[in-house]
Amino acid sequence: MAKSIVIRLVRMATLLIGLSVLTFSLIHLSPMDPVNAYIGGDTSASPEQIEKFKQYWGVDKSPVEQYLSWAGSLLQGNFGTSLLYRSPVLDIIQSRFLTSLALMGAAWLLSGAIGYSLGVIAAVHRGKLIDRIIKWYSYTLVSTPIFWMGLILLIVFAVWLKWFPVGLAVPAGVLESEVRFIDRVHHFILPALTLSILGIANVAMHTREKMIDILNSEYIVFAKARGESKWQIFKNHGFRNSILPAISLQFAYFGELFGGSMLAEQVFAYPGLGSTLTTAGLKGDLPLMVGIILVSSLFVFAGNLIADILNKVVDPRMKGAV
Amino acid sequence: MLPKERGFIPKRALSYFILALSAVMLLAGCTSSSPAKESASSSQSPSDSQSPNAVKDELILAVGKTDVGMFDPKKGWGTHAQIRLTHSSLLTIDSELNFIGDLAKSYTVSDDALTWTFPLRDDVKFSNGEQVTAEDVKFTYEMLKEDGIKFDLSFVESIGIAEGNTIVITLHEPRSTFVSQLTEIGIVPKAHYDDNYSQNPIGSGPYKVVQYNDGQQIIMEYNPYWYGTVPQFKKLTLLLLAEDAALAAAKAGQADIVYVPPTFAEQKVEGMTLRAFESIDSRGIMLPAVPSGAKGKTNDKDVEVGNDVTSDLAIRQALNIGLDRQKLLDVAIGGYGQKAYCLCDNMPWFNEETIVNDGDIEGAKKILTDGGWSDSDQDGIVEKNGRKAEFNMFFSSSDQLRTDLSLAVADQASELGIKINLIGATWDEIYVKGKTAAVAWGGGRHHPHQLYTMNSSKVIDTSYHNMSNYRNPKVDEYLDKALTATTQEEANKYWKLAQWDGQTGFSGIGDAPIVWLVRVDHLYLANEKLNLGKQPVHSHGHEWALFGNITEWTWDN
Amino acid sequence: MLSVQEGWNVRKTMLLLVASSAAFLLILLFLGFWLSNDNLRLSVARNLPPSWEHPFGTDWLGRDMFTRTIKGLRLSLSVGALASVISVVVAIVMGTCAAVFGKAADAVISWIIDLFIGMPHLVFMILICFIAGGGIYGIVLGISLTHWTALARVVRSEVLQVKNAEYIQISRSYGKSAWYIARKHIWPAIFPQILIGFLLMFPHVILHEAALTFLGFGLSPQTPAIGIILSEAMSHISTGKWWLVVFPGLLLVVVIKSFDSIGERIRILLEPASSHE
Repeated sequence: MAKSIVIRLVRMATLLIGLSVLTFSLIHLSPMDPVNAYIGGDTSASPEQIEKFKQYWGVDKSPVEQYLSWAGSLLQGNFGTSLLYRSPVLDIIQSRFLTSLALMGAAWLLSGAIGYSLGVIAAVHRGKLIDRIIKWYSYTLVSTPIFWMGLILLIVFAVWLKWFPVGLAVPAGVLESEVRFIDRVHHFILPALTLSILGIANVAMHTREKMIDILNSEYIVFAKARGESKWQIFKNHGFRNSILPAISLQFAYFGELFGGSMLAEQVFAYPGLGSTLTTAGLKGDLPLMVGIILVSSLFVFAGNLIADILNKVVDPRMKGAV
Repeated sequence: MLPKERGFIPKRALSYFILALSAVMLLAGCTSSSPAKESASSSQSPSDSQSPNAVKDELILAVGKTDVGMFDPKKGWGTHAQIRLTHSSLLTIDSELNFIGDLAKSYTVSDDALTWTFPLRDDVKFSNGEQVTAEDVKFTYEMLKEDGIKFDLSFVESIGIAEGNTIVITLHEPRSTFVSQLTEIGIVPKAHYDDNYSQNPIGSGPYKVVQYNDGQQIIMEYNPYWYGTVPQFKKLTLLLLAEDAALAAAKAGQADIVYVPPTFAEQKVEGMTLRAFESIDSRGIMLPAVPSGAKGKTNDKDVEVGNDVTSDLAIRQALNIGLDRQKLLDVAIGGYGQKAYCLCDNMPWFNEETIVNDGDIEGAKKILTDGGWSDSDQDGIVEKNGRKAEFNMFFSSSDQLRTDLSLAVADQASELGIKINLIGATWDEIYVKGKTAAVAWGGGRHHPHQLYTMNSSKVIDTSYHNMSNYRNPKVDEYLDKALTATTQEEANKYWKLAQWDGQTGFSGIGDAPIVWLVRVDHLYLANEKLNLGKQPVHSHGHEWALFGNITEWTWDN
Repeated sequence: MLSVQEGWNVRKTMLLLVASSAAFLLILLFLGFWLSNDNLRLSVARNLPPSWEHPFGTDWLGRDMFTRTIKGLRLSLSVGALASVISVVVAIVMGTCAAVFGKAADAVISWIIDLFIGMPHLVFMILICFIAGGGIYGIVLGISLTHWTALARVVRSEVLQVKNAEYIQISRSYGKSAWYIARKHIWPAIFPQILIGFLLMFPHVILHEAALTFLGFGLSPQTPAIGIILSEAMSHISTGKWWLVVFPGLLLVVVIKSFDSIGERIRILLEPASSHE
């Protein structure tokens, strides 16, 4: 067991290295000269700053050396300086990270809990109306663009009903020190809802399938024959066998979550890591873009790793070894 | 029938879940958004509404991105008439566009227009209580003259101090537009000015900056040492919101006055009324006048220059008479504006001969045909020597008005056989690529200096002047004469000749490096109780044009 | 008595449903070409709510929303098709190479697949789009380079299975060339999977294309693309013009769902065993 975890960790490390190589080569392939991109339309870059920048990217060295020097800086925590915000990339990521984490975290929890419940309900009542409703709802939602969902929610809840603010993370015009906690939560609800709605559909679908499989298996038939009520069956057998796949699915969902947060943050003008990446991409802030991409990929790889491990744990062949 | 499925969830799992959820919410609540930069003298007064009986003395405004220049003249504070809130200048303009004294009690100009004398007021103090003296004026002008980037004072020979707190400025040569620069340069304190001036900008205007959150808001409070009319509003909060966010703020009752682009003008917000102010804020299309392949500089960066299609005179002139300005106004700007044929319509230096019958599609097509353009492959786009009449046009994507105007222009141009590909971009990007393609351009001041900076070949490659790289020796001659004229009348004569002297000129009927289209009204949604006083014709920049008479604003109860 | 085989049965229902979805999509495509570009012209008929003349209303520049939406969908479908085709080709190549060229190649390609699967799609697409310089080119490249992984895995496992089957060994012992074997045996085995994969890829691709253009990557505002239509509508939400958002999005959802259901149904038709899931 431990051995397979270590193997996986090593694999993840190689993947990360691969990712950095890939990113690096893409940047080099691009017709854009990173140094030029830095100087771009900036009128106030001093010669020292330009020198520092050239050193960071290792402009005059061979590609391999450039990569190594760049990777070296990365490992030391030097992600370069953002063009747009004129401060170290890592600082910017750190300051926005928590905001995004809150959003993604809430959406993750909500979509997991609600999705799982819906999936279970659908499976247990298979074929009946409630199942059909949940199935239809999930199928439709999976085909819906997240940002459109967000726009609809915005129209309904913020513009028509005026229950929620139209955007941003804090109310406009209020001194930073006076923003109340409840204001922040107020601004946070619609984006979190948008992000979770799609996740719910996914989890519900998968849980339903898994549950149906389980409910069709032999030991369930035995349990029923023994007279266990549906409730007991679920509690004793269903839950235990379906929860782990559901959780592992949740962890594998990190990638979609991050992509979704980019869109949700854009719709609600919520200043998290996602909208920062969008702005960086649109305005050509290469260091910031690359920094966020690497950090988010790390996040996603970690999620996949955990999901992988969980899957192995669930695999009955491993049960003896645990 | 089954009992509710959710009931089965063991209580512990449920409580764990709720705990997790609240932890996450807590996280959301406790994070602060972008870092705030507070100036040294920040004060914290509550910004919530006051009791209904008190006189309203705080205002919340969302009139645009007002922080360009960061309160420092050296960084450009003042080039778009920003200083009226925070600084004094030697002269200012009244609502009839007359030049009157601000810091200076009066001014006299010698007959040869080389010596300008300004006796100063004695009762002006900076926001920190220190007296504003002639030394400060001398320091400010000398500092800007040496820097030379934002304000061109190269024609100034010296700034001297004379008896009785008087400033005497001597020029190398007469400069007819000098009087306008005198209204744009804000005086900074010699004793406290340094490179960090933006963090704590001390000025002698009616308000002082007390808090600036980068990209979010500027908070200003009344300067108790202000020497003019005491304003009713003692605290101004300027929100730096995007146009649609500003509208949302207005609807939510969170702002007292917001700028609205024409598409939002029809919005009904309870308790607010639309204010429309005529302006000389003009919009047009800047077109490169040289073929591609050249090199140049914009804002000190090396850039590519030239476009093979727009450098053909026929294309530019065709656009000038082919585009229907009234239709542009109706479709893209909701009718809130006037047609414009030059940057300076309605100003004393406007040459009325440049007015054309626009919307003349047949005429435009004839110009193109005469110029050698024809549609040989019947695809709706004309060609000449195998090259299609197609080019890119950049516009600032954060500006709804320019976006809509550009769409309308491209739409109309297609009828003439010209294909314009629109590219929305940030100003940074536009400066890099702007000399190789058309750009949705704007301008318009209370003075004609921009006619020089946009059309004289002498300023090519400086700042973002003369982006078209337009060269016409005759026009240059007229522009120089206009600049160095000793009287306003003489100057006006030459400004007009530069536009059109019967044979050539930079206006649309001449070389047309910039095809001017419309003058836009500045539209604001303001609380019905807010009285904005008498506004002069606004100059370029809806963010700042309002504040010339800030001390006269009132709030009716 | 009519046997189930000849009368109406589930299979025929499925075929009917597939046909009607396909017809719907074809009609949309056709409309996309047939509707005159004149409707895209700006006019003073601004901000009109839905009516007979303008089924989806008009926007703030007087452009007919129905035409814009349909043309936008046509663009999405074309981009979707192109990106999907490229993706499928890449997937086939990668999958086949992994299965056919031995353990080393397999390990390397599987590692590459893991790498690409691990990355958040949108994020990587933005990077590729940015690097490729934006425009349609960047979008197609970005989408196709991120979506090939799942299908590649499927192709790989299918080819592996077939490769080791008995009839292949027999064929080889008859001296048939690799090319013949590939054409006659392997291709028919993997073709259904490819078809299904292609059809199911479409919805994802269209969704991502809409997301990319929504965020602002690549296309000029003149191009009617669904993402652009929606992002422009976003600035006008506060003005209460709900039809700018609702209809384009709704139509997009319907289109995506149609593709999805076509894909699912074909899968069930070709692999009846999967219908129990």
